[in-house]
Amino acid sequence: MKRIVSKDDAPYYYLKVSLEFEDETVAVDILTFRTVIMKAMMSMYGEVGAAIQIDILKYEGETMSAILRVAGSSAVKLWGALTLLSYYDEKPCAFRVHQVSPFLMALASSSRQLLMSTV
Amino acid sequence: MVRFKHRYVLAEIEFGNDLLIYNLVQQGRRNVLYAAVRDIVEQLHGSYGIGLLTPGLSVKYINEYTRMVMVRCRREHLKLLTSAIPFIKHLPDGKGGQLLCFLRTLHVGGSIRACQKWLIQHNRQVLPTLLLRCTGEEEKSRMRKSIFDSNIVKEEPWNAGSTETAT
Repeated sequence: MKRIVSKDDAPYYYLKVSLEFEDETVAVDILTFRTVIMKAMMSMYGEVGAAIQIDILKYEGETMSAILRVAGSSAVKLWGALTLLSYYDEKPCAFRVHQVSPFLMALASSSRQLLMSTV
Repeated sequence: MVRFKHRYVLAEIEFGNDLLIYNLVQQGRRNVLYAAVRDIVEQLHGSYGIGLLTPGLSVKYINEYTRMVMVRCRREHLKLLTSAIPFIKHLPDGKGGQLLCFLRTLHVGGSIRACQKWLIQHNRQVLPTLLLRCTGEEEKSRMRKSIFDSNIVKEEPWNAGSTETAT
């Protein structure tokens, strides 16, 4: 059995995020969601940061939660930029980053969502 | 010894219509270029870039006649500055308008003295090129005189005690 150890950044990082507006009636579609992410990167890292490739792998409109994919070297930048976003279109909002992992499988089932039966 | 190390970027401002003297309001000179650099770094690299660059950023030298500018930044963030300088597209003229310009980066040095030595050598090389562009005999003779003056090498004083062997 061969063991491979890799010391670089993982090729991709996956983030499970959700967007919350202070006003609960606001809902955004996937294109607006991508614009919000781009605005966050633009304000923190400028045009160079906004050009970083970020893919939305899955998006749920009702809960405004998504799974994002970004290159491993830019994961920290994306995480920081999302955390520091406080306004979009003059509406107060916040990104909640639930889970970050270099493996997509880890987002599929995480021990945070385990329901232990309490009897 | 712990100290902040800097890099000094020497750039030449080029205007589209070959202005001879960049007329800027005298006291606002350094601030105008500083503001231009800071704005372009904010646009390209965002708040992160501004936060990294501003502590060490300063305009050290401006020569209106040769249009040379020298900008200082911290050594670790040199790439932020050198990647942002080519994107400066206009500088304000004194009357509220904007002049189209381009900052051509000539040299990056580790100290002001190193940049100055390079600049002297660069100007020596550029003078003959300017001679070719001179029109009129009077201008040409003045150019030749300044080239001659700039290339004079100090003569070593004769050593009185040495014996001269006739060759």
